Amino acid sequence: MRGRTRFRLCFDVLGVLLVLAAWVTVFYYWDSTRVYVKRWKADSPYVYDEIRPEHLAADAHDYMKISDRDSADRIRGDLSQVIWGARQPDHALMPDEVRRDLLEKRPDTDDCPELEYLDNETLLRLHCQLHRYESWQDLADIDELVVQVGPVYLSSIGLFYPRDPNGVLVIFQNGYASTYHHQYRHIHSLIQAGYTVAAANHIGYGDNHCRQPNELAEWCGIGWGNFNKPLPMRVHFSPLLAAINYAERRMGFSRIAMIGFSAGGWITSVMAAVDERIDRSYPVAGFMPPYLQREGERPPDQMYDPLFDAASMLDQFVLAADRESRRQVQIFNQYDRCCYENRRALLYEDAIRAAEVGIGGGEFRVLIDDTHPQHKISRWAISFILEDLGKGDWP
Amino acid sequence: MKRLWTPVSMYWRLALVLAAIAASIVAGLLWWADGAWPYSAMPTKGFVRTLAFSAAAVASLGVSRLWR
Repeated sequence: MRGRTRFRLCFDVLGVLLVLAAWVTVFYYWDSTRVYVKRWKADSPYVYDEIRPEHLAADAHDYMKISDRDSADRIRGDLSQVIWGARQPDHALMPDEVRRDLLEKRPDTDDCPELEYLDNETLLRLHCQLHRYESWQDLADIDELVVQVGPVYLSSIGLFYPRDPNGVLVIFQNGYASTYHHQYRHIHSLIQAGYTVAAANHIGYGDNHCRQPNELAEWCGIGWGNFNKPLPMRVHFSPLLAAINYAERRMGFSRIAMIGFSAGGWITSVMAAVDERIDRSYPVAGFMPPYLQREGERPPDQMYDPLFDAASMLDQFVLAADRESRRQVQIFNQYDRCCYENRRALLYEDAIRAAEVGIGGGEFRVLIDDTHPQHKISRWAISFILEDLGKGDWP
Repeated sequence: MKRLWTPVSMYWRLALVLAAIAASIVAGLLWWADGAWPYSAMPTKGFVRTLAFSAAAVASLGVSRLWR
C-alpha cells in the first residue's frame, strides 16, 4: 500500500471512530440513557433500585418521639431552644439592612470581576449578577436583605418581586457547590407564576461571608462542622427567620412556602419544623434520616448533634406539616449522582403520615424523581412544586 | 482484498460527516430543549464533548478527503 493511501486510511478510520464517539457521548450523557448507564455501572442493585434488607427491617417509629399534640409542641420548643436559645423563634428579628431596588439603582460592581475570576461557583454575588435578571419581563425589581449573625457573619437574601404578585412568598434555599444564581431558571419559573421569591445561599456562598478573615474559620466554618461558637445553628436559620419576619410584618405576607435544594433541602426541613408560618415546604435531595443513610451521606452542617437530640429528622418532618393547613412534599432523585439516591425515603412516608393523623396534622408526601441521573431540581420536580403551590388550598 | 484497504468512498465520507453533524445537533437540541440546564436532558459537559468529537470527526474526514 502506498504511503499516501495509508495516511488517508488512518484519517478515515479516525474519522469513523470519532463519529462513533460523538454518538456514544450523546447516549452516555442523555438523561434517559444515562440512567441505564448508571444502573449498569452501579456496584450493586442496592445503590439505585433495591432497598437494603437492614433498611427494610428498620421501623421508622423507633426514631420518632412525637406521639401527640403536646409532644409536638414541646419538641418544636426544644428545636428552637437549640437554634436560638429560646422556646419560640424571635418574630421581632429583622434584617440589619435592606438594599432596595438593585435593578433600578445598579450598585457599583468594581469588586465583581476579581471575585468571579477567583471562584465563580461559590462567590457569585447578587450585585454582580444583576445582568442575569434584567431581561425578565415579569420581574419588577430586587431588594437585598442583609442579616448579621454573631459578631462577624453577614448573610444576604435576594428578594425578587414579580410585576404581578399573587401574595405568596417562596423562600428558595440553595445548598453546597453553587449559588442560587445558578438556579436562576427555577427562580424565573416562580417569578413568572407571580411568586415573590426570597433566595438564600448556603453559608460561605455568594454574599454570605465573614467580615474579618481571621474569624472565618470559626464563624464561616460552622457550615463545615466547626460548631465552637454559641448557638451555631443561627448562621443557617436566623437570616431566614429575619426574612420571614420582614415579609410578614413589613410586606404583609401570610402565605409562605419554602423550597430547598441539596443542603438547602435539610435547612428547609428544619426551618419548616421550627417556624409554623411556613405552610408549604419542598426539600429536594437534601438529607436522609441517619438510620437510612449510607456512608458519606451526612454533610458537616448536619452533624450538630444537639439539633438531632432535640428532634430527630423524622420528628422534624412531622413538625413541618403538624397543622391541617400545612404540607411537606419531599423529592428525591432516584438516580442522583451525588447522594440520597434510591427509593429508600419512601420507607418512612407511612410512619410520618400516621403521626400527622395522630396530632391533627396536614399532608406529608415523599416523591421519587426518576426522570434523570443528576443532582438537581428537575423540570418534573419544579413543575410539580408549581402545581402544588397553585392548588389554592392555602389557609 | 485490495478494495478492503481502499479509503472510504466519497459517499461514505459524506454520510459520516452528516452523522457527526447530526450528533452535534441532537446533543444541542437535548441541551437547549426546555431551557438548558437544569431543565435540559443533556448536561453542558455532554454537549461540549459531543461537539468536540463531531468537530474532530469532520476535521479528520476532511483531511483525508483533501489529501489526494
